[in-house]
Amino acid sequence: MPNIDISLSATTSDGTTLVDGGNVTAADSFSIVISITAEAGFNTLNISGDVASSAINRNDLELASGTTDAEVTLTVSTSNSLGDGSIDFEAVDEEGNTATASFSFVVVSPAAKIQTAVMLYAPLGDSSSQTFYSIANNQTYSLGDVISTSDPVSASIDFGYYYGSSDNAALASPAEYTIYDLSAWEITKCNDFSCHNHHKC
Amino acid sequence: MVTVSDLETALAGVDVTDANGTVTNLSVNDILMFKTVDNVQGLIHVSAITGTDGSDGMIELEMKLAASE
Repeated sequence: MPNIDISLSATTSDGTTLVDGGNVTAADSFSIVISITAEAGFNTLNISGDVASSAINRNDLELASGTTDAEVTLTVSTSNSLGDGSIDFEAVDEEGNTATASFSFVVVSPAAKIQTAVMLYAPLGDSSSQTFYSIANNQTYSLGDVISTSDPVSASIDFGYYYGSSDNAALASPAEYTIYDLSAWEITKCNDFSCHNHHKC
Repeated sequence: MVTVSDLETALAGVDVTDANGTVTNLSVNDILMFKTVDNVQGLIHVSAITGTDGSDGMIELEMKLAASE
């Protein structure tokens, strides 16, 4: 019986080698290179498992009859569902001989985004203090920064800092920020805070 | 490593019925949960508070977002 072999190699979206059974990040992607050697000539690669089932034949790869070596790259998009997954491959040669291989993976949650050393300064009369913060941009802004630009910066501001005589140290959503007049802002967000370990809110 | 899933699980257990747009009388080491109108959730840790006005008044925060890097 003519020999037929199938081998797999995989990499994550950032180019790191991914071993069989390794972790892949949810809502990301990874690639598997399927290499096939078939003495009788490659005919078809069947793909099934935790991907849409498909079949790729030598015509799809524009290979002549009798071509012994074939290589297919499969890009797999991972879902948001965490847990185990696997993909099965079956190579078929021109005589109907087959070889199979399977690749397993574990979909894991991505690392949380951490933003450290965010320093917000209490407001100043000249509007120059870095008082406001945009979570999405991970950037601080002064009132002057926001009102002096034509960019829609105000839409990205999530909260500002002030120190009040009775409120003491406080964070406020733009919609509730009363220290400055923010009426010139195109958008003032109304975000929510909830205290986790004390009763001050 | 704290994952997005870890944070989502932790935040799902927080009672936010009293949440509002302003939090006052903050102290060092307070932890706040936040949720933006853009539906970004996370935790804020108050690392430091100094002074009272813009010339020297400052709050330092560390944030963990239920969003990937």
